[in-house]
Amino acid sequence: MTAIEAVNLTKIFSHQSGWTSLFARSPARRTVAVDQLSLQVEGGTIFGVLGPNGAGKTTFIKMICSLLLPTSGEARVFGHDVVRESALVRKAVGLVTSDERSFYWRLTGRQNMEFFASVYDLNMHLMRRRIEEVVEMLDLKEYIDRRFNEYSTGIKQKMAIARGLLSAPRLLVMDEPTKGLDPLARHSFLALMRDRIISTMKCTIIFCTNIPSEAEQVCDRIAIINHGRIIYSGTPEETDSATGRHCTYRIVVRGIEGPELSRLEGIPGVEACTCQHLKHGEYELALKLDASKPALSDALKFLGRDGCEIVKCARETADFDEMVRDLMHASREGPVRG
Amino acid sequence: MIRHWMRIAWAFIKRDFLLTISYKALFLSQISAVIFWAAIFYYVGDVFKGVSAAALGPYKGNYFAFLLIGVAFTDYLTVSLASFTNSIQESQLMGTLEILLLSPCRYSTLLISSSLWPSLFTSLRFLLYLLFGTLIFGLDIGNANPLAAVVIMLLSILCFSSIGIMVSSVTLVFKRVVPVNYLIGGVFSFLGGVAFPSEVLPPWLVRISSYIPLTHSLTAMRRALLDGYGVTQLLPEIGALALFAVVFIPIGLYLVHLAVRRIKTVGNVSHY
Repeated sequence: MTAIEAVNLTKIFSHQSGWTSLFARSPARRTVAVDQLSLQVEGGTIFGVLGPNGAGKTTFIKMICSLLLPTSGEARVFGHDVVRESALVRKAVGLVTSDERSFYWRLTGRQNMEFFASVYDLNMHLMRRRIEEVVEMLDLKEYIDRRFNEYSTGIKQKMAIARGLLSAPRLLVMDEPTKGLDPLARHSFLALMRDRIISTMKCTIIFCTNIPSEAEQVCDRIAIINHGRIIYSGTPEETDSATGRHCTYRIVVRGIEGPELSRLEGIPGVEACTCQHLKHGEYELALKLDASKPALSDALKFLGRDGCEIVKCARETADFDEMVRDLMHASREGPVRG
Repeated sequence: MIRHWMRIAWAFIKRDFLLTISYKALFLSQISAVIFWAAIFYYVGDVFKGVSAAALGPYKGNYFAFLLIGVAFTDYLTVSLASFTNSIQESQLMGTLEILLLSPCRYSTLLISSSLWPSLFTSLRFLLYLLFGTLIFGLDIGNANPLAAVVIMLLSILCFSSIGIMVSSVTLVFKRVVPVNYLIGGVFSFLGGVAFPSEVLPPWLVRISSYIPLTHSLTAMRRALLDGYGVTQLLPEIGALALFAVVFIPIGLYLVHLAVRRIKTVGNVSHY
């Protein structure tokens, strides 16, 4: 089932507020935060929304959560329109933000949870059961009865997740949940997501981040947003072919001489070829190929024709962060689809 | 539906109670201040003892009783005006507004629930004013009609809250509206007969004062507590308060609906 469907979703902010907006005659300065964005998220998947600061990620997810009204276009969450059926949408959505202010610091974790659970309309019995479940899942037993102001940033973030999961939402929206966490806490947070939340909750997750490697680790599919538009959507693995950047293969060959190998550079699509002698008659080639041209098979045919033995051929994993950066640079030329 | 509302109401009362008692010094000072204010009203009343004032005739010339009930009961107005605005400003500052707006509850339900604890706390203070006034300063409420007093109190809370809800819609949109609260509180206190009977005002201001719910609340409350008037004897005031409530509450809720729509359009839900 489709969890989210957005069609030409657009949000334009007008920079005139307060009293001036009531009396202003001239049109206000406007910012297009989300620009005709269309996407589909399948139920039960983890969908990453990636993009730099100011790309429109938060605006997009706020529209999905019905916290913000679109200027035009439409969006549906499990078939419910985010504007006309916002109560049903809100019932289906749990939100995890990186804003640690959004708790009552003078109350304990449990008191906070009980309050938010009541607001989310859980009865006493269900509330207690859910609190115990999320506390167990997130290892918060030790902290839940302490005051919120005693928590470390990592625990506060776990509490935010616990709150988001309280109502057992069908759609969990996480807006930069690792913001402010140190590398160790970030690592354990992602592990927690992979090993516990995803396997236990079985809900659709929107994971919004500006750190590509995080999305690569946990997401099934991603959309990269820049200037309010989707510049790429697909799986993290397909990103490199969408970038049009080079990819490197490491090939170990036997039975061919070094000078002959330099002829590989003459094959269209081969950008560079470096050769390293490993042991007697065995060389390792680093073949840098243009990803947009199918040069690998030509290169392998060339090697096979000269009667050499290919011992090993492996693709060098490209750096995901770099690929995302490349996509963002290339985004001026239009969207890329994986 | 009632269960749903009760659950939310209880959650807000519990949250606000826990937050209030977590600031122990403030809580105790708010309670203990009552006795000092009651003493101030007693001695101000003492100054005017024996002074013949026709306007105080209905209150048997007892200015202490008049002032104590007037000021203590006006707390409901002050708190109603402030509690909605404070609730919104606190949730904007604390960042909980977005989380609350994301809940399946209507925002008006959340807003009304957030005013329950302040109303209960004000009732506690009002009772303490009456208790200290009676036990220490000789306030005579032996003839009081508790039922009529409770009816007047509930209707007054509804009226004042509806005005508070209207002001809160302005807070949602414009973020800071403290001057509006001061203005409404000041005008109502001046015309409503808090510290002096409205009848001493020029006739045209007396006419205006009859369009203010506080005037009817104070007149009815003083009569219920000091003269033992029953519900039937207070029907004109009860009718006026009910009319104010029936008109103001839907307007207030509609304005909040518009304000929430506005902040969701402008995108400044969590701004403050």
